[in-house]
Amino acid sequence: MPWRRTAMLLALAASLGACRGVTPEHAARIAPPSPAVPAVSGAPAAERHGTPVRLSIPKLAVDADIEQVGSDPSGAMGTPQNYRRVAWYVPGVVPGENGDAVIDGHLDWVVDGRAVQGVFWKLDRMAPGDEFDVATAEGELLHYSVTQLQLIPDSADPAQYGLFATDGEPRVTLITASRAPSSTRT
Amino acid sequence: MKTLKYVVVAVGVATLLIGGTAAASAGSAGVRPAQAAPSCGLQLTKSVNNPRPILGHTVTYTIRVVVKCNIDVIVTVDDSLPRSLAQVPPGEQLRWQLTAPAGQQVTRVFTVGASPPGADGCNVKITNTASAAAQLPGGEGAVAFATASVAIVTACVPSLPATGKRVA
Repeated sequence: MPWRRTAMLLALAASLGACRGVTPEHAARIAPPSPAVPAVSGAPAAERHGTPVRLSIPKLAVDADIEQVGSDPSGAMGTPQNYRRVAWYVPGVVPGENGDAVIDGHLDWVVDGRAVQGVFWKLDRMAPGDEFDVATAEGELLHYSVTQLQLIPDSADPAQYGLFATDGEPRVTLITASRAPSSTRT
Repeated sequence: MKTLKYVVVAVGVATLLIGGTAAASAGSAGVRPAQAAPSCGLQLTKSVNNPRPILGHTVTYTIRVVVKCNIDVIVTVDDSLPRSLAQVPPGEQLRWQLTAPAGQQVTRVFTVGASPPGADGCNVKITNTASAAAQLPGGEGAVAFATASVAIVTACVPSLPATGKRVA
């Protein structure tokens, strides 16, 4: 399947602000974990405590199911099977635990030769202080506040940017392709 | 001589009870009371600051030993790293000795920096065990022994995902 790699990726880092129970109306919208976990290396099959199942970004009107991915055969983080969904890197950090839990989503997609906007099409509109929630299968609602937006070359070593770190304060990074590969905006 | 025989027996009992519960023997009239049987308590715990380190990153192991004996002992603590861990920085000490006077509780904490260099890949469980042995100052055999283990699982860092246009 053909892919077009962009030169830059947009990474949005957010710190954990609070953890609370899910409201009844929110719980009704939380989908169970996707049973169709892509066959990727390094992805444990068993569901873990605090499994993230839903990402809500009120500012962008995003309310997306979270798939579980590992690494693809090239060694890259897997991506969602669907442009409306996002994907959490299972071998890494669980949202709410120390370190950097990474969730990616498509910027755009092509359906029948027509370009459509992906779930993170407007991710670059987020700004420090904006908020989003990650709901878990266990009924927790993790509340995050954006701390940083950063453009990262797609050939970069993620560890140099603190991505996928397994220690430090609990945080989540949302990541997608950049719409402006030549931009130097950070 | 009855008195001499009793003393000999008392020493023998003490040897057998080393490392066990102290048991005082009542002295007979006219006989020197036997001392409490030597006992030696050795507690060893080991922890790691990050149980899921990224390959090549450094973790810090902390080893805590608590000694409380009613005899003078010398305690040797060893922390031999498994092959899949590299010491950071290399050549640092992995064996320590401390003295614990009779009747006093002595606590020591040691730290070891180590790194899973990646030779065995990611998602690998690496168990590291430290040991401690208490000996009498004369260098006789160990009177108490303890081990403590902690495990890490190496984490993977993938390259960045391809989230640009995908043709469906």
